[in-house]
Amino acid sequence: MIGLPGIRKKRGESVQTDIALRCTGVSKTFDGTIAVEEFDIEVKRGQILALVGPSGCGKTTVLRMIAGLEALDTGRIEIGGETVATSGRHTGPDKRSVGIVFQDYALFPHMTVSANVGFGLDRKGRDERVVEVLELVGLSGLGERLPSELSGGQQQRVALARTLASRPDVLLLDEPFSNLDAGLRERVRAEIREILKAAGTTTVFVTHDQQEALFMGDLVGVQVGGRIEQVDIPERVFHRPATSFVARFMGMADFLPVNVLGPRLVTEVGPARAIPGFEPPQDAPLQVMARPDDFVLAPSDEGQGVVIDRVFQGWAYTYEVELNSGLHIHCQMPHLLSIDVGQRVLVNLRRDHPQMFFSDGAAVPTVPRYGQT
Amino acid sequence: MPAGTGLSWSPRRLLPLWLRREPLSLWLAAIAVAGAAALPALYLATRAADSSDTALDAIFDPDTAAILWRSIQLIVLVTLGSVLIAVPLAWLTVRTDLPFKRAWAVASVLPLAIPSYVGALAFISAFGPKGLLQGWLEAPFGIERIPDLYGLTGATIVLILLSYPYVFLTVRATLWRLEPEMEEASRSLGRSPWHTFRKITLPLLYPAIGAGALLVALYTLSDFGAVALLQYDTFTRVIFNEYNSAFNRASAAALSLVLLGVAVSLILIEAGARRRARYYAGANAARRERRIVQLGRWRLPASVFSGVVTFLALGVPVFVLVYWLVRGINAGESELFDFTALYNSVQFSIYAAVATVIAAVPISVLSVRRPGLLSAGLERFSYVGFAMPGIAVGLGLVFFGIRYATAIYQTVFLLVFAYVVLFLPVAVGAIRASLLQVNPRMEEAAMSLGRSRINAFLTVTVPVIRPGLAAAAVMVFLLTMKELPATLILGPIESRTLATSIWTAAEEAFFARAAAPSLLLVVASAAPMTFLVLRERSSR
Repeated sequence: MIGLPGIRKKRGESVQTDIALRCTGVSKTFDGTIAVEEFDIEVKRGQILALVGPSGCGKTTVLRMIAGLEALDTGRIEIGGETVATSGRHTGPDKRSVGIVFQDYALFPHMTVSANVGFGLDRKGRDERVVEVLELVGLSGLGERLPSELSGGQQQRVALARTLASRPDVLLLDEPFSNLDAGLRERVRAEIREILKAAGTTTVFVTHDQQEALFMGDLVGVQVGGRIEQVDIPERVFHRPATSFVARFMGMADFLPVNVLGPRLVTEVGPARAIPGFEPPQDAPLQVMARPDDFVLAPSDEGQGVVIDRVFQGWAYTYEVELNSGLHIHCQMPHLLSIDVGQRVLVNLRRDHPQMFFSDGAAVPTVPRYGQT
Repeated sequence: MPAGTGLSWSPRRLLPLWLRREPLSLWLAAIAVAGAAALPALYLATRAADSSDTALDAIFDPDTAAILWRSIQLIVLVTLGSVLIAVPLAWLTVRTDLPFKRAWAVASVLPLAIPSYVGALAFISAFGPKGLLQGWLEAPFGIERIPDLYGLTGATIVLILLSYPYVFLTVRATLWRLEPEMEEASRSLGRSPWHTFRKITLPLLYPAIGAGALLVALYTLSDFGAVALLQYDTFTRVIFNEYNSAFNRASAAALSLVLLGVAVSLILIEAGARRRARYYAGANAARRERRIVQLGRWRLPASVFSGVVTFLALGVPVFVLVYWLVRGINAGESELFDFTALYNSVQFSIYAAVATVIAAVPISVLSVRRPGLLSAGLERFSYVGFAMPGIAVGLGLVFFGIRYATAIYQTVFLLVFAYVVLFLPVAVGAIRASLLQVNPRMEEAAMSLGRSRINAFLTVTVPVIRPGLAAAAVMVFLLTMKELPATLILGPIESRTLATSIWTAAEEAFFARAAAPSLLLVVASAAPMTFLVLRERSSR
């Protein structure tokens, strides 16, 4: 479990550190459809922000507005403390220190790798910088190739090098790994994270893949329907989701009704544990969120549920259990224990694991949400 | 031969296994069509070789060098002019807020509907000596002479205005397809819009410009009507005169071979240029509406530019034709419309459309379904008509007819043969494109459900490719209606067509008599073209 002190420390820094990118109340409408609404974000110098959300949630539009490829309707975008876009003013993409790496790389097919990488540079010092950046991305010696002669992963790194070459204040990556096959993807994203950290570049990175967001981001922002639902460090987005949507989007999650009996929080599967200082809301239905690893199953004829499905995943089984109330829950257990479908089971919540509680789709605040301090 | 075993012997057993997978008849048909397409070129060569002294004299005659030089001048000027007009027009109609963009787009394609002899005739009537313009200037201003239209100047202007749509179409298609991300990447790397256009957009358009320019160059090289009426001696006009007036067939054949050589060189030059640039134009069409360039104060100049081009290329010919038609009607001209010619034209064109589509099917099917050396070679042969000017195809078949096929010489058979050779590439292109949309698994599914191969093709594939077959037939029909040089040389003596009667009237400056059939040809070709351009939106 992530301790609170670590979070406090990060927050303390933000007071002194420069903000590389700040969006305030940014909104954008296309032909009457709201693409982005009241979007707020702050990214510190050198940080990587992963924006994650289902397709059509407006995350690419956010990137394009930051890059200056799209004008915003209302709000404000500041880069390195300088306002580049408000509702009345729009600084062109060539006048912003922002680099963007497109989903399909958009390498110039009629230019060599070197010419691509040097495209945005002044003549003076261009060749040296190209060599330097190609070395940074591990493509030394491939400068005279054409993009069509490179593999997908190499093209990706050329696109990154081309953008890094002119040392942008903010680097934008639009679904950078979606065109790579699964095996390559994990390797490439580790490499790219290393490159970005080595270059110390402030990065906003858009993806629909939760694992990727959790892996890449210093901060993860979850976006839905044009709005940011939560921005926080990866661990807290996963374990302390601000809304039930975030909880479900970031991983499998079940919600069970909770009865508040004085100090006790009772569910169909036994008592739930809250973080000390938790105050249940008055007169509002309360639910507890449980991830598959929050449950413990044991075969028992007196159990309160029946196994209705079992998925073998190698290192573990995931069981779907129908509780007596008709509710379905998902539960992961080590492969050592195999329970047959149809078997009655006793279900409990792990006692070593404080749970999150939700009311009306929003987390019952136990700790202040990001941005509310 | 396994007689008595109950197994019937078939010639297919002689073939290697890979050949047997497709019905033999299909391969034989494809080979026959390819052979037929190669026939005219073959007979030109035979005829020239027969009197090799005369032929060699003709080839190495200084006059031939002069003709070559004149042809090259015309090709270079027309191609350059077309590119200079078409690229800005394409860009304006795709990427900017030019008012009435779609109307300009349609208007910029329609000049293709005007046969070159009709265009030339209209320009002569409008701007020639004693033409309409001079007439209007004479009364108020006393101007009796305007700059001479005949020769290189006139031929260049008329051919640019008639052929720039080829470049317009290819460039426009590529502009639609280009990924906007390329330009956006350049802009976010700190480059201005103009720098982005010069370094990114324009180079990515080179292949499209090259392909369009090749079409313009081949059009110019093979054009007969415009250069003949405007009296500029390129290959086609000289060959026709040698054959027609001087009756010098050996030298006509030799010059045709040189002409064919030039055409093939043009194709090779373009192919070489394309190979050097291994471009990758994004296969995934633009997924997002791209940003529209605001023209601002350039709106007016841009509109004027589009207006002037359309006025000259489309307005002038249509105006002149209508003018003469009205004058003819008012003057009570008796031979305003030649229904015999119309009947003949429609008849020949239907024959040509049907024959060409049938001939194109085997080659198309094999090149799509059985890609390989043999099918690729057969497909290559079907493209002879693309490189071979109508006059050369006509002459080749004249020699063939006189020597080997006197029975069909100067009959509609040989004429339709020429049309098939000339327009086979168009039909193969359209049918191939629609065949590529058909999943071959569909036919296999039908066969696994108990249908024979032929039955599966006819009941599953043919209905799906019907639009492609129809498009091919319509295109061949229209091209045949307009075709002039082969029709002049091979047409049955008694049967006038629309094209030949316009030609005769134009040669004698009987503008009123040419007006009605010309208008009919233009309108008939313009209708499907308008449809194709307007459909662009839905296919995007």
